[in-house]
Amino acid sequence: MANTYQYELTYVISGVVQQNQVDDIVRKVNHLIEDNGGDVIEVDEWGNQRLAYEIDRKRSGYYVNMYFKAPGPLIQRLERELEINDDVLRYLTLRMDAKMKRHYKKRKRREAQQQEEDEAGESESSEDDE
Amino acid sequence: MANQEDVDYEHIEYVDYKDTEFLEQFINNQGKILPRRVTDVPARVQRQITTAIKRARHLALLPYVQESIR
Repeated sequence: MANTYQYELTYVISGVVQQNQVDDIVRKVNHLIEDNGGDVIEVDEWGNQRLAYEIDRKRSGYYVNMYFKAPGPLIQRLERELEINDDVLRYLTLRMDAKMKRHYKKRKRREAQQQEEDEAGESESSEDDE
Repeated sequence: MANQEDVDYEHIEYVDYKDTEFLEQFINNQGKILPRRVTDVPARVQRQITTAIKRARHLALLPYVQESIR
């Protein structure tokens, strides 16, 4: 059994692709991970965003940012799938080290806190605490 | 990059490539990464900023060359 690690993956799907096809790609990626001994922790779809520069004549892309646990050899297969798919413009897989994990947890905690505050102060006027 | 002394860069542990708002402080109007001589951040942080900007560029979150001068 190969070692499993925690990974962060961001990929960009071409902005001209229909929403149901986008969902298909996201589902395919998730299934590939889960069917091969991996474990999806979080999938965060940023949605359509303007690209900082043109890629293959496209000006916008659908960003998907996800976190998962997987055995090392799976990454090659996953990246191959993304490489083959012409609708995926860019991808970036990073193996999370201790620092990144701490950073991730810190962000999660901040988000949870933010949500609590939002719910608590629903009626009050919201102010930024910075 | 004046009046940066009050910002606490020492305690930054990890620079995130997703935080484009933060990274934009460290590129000039052409999209180039500013040197440490200008940014005046600790070497450890500057190295992280550099890789983070390069990752963000790859994902088209930041430009390689700013639109205005291309």
